Amino acid sequence: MSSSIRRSFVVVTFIAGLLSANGVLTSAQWLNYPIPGVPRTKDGKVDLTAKAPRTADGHPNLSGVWHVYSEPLEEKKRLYGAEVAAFSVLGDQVTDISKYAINLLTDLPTGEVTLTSEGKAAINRIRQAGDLPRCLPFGVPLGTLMTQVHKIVQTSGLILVMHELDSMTRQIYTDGRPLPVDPSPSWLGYSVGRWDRDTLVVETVGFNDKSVLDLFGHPRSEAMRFTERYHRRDVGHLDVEMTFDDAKMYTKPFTVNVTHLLQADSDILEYVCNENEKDREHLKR
Amino acid sequence: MKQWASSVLGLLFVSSAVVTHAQWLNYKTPGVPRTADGKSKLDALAPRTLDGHPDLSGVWMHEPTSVEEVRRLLGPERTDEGLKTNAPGMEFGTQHKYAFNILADFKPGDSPLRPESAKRSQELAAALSREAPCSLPDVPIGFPSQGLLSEPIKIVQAPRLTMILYELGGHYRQIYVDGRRLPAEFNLPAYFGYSVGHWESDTFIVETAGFNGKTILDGSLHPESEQMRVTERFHRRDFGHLDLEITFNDQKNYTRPFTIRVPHNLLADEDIFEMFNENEKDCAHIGKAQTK
Repeated sequence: MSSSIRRSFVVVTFIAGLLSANGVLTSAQWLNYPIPGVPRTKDGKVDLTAKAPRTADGHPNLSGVWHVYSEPLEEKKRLYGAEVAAFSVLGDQVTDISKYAINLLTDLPTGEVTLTSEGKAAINRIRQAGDLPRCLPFGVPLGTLMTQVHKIVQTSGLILVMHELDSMTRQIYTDGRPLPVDPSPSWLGYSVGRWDRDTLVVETVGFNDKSVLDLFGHPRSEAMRFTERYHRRDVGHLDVEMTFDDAKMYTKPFTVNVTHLLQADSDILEYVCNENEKDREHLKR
Repeated sequence: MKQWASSVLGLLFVSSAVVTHAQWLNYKTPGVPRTADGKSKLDALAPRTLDGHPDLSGVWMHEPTSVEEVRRLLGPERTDEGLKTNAPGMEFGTQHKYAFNILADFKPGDSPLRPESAKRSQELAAALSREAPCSLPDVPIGFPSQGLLSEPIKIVQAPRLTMILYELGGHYRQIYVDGRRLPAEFNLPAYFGYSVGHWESDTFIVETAGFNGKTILDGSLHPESEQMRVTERFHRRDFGHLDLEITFNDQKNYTRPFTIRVPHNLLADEDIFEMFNENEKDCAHIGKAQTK
């Protein structure tokens, strides 16, 4: 894929379809409720630079409500062109999404990672489909790179990653079970995690090929293996390194680093995709 | 009546998409007490969390109501109509009777349903018989039916927060156990409301309010209002059994509170499946059925 194509934001319609295929966030309560057990400064605000909390078993506790760091709009204009500012559906503002939500490969030098012939065919197919989702899930990792927050709930043996977007819940087993050998393909895949000192390493396989990795339409195949390394730097910051290994679609694996910011005293909201949808009629025009 | 039956049952069964994927079924879950032959020992003591409370975590399925009992409750006409569309994974006999009628235990003339609410239910049933269920938006079936149909639930008990994950629709509830109280008013009511829990001895008591009044309590279209408050009492009798008592208090629709009791069995070494709004195949057939 050439840099000029990448920067020209040719996927206008595709992105518009993706952004508008979501329903509304219906409900909220307990926002700004001071959560017990969180270190605070003298003025009552959460001390985001305090040491990361730990669970009873001594591991870092990743639990919390998180939202991906969103680069300034100017940076997105530089990467994708001034047209990117036009995409601001209420609740899905481009200002509040990660640059990687638009294009996961944006930081890579041109030509370093390219689509295979099968990958090129897949991305063309995806773009021609246009309004692809129809309330089907955005998948991984896109569900954590958009406007909506996600919530991690960590227990002994199982970690939940709950995406506000599409109301998706990923289960990451940390009870020692191995990954399935021949999994039945799924939207969120099958995940197991283990601790490498203070870093949670999550391996996921068993994806279906129905979802996309980003709004650009980068495809994934059933063969994709996804590795995440979660490191809670302090109370307020969660660094996640994501490595995508999909030889069917890409010429070599690639890695993307994102930081999620704690949304202290906040919560995920109930999300019903099919409710109050108003966009599709306009998209048809 | 025939149309009403097919509409309501269709709404319950078709508004769910297909359960798509499964893995790790029959995986031997660590920490499960087992008999000599490796089977889970369901009558073992209930496990406890580090803070000493019973651990409700696990995959649970209500005790389904048999086809014979459903026939007795619904009558042969509705049952036979439902049996015609006995969709795989949603066969009759895999649901709980309260999913069909939450007031099933009340004798005729003793129902707490207010007359004006009964009238609204009838109007909704008539509307459904005119309009295919599939033309309605695919929104949550809601509480409590989300956990009383053919799919299990999973409870994940974390410190200060207990989650209930519904396989049906992939929905979830958050139950806060961090000392917060329910707000006096809800500016943004929700399909599943807002829940707080506390322990009374070994019973987990959950109070829920803030429902949006947009869903129904069962397939008989018994309504809920935004005023409804629900109290659930969870008691893990032993390793394999969870007793659940649910009390509904909705003075707008019912003359008095009423309570249902739903025993659940542990599905040891199993898991809930991913379930999204895909591969729906039923609507076309239901539309044909309704025009007959």
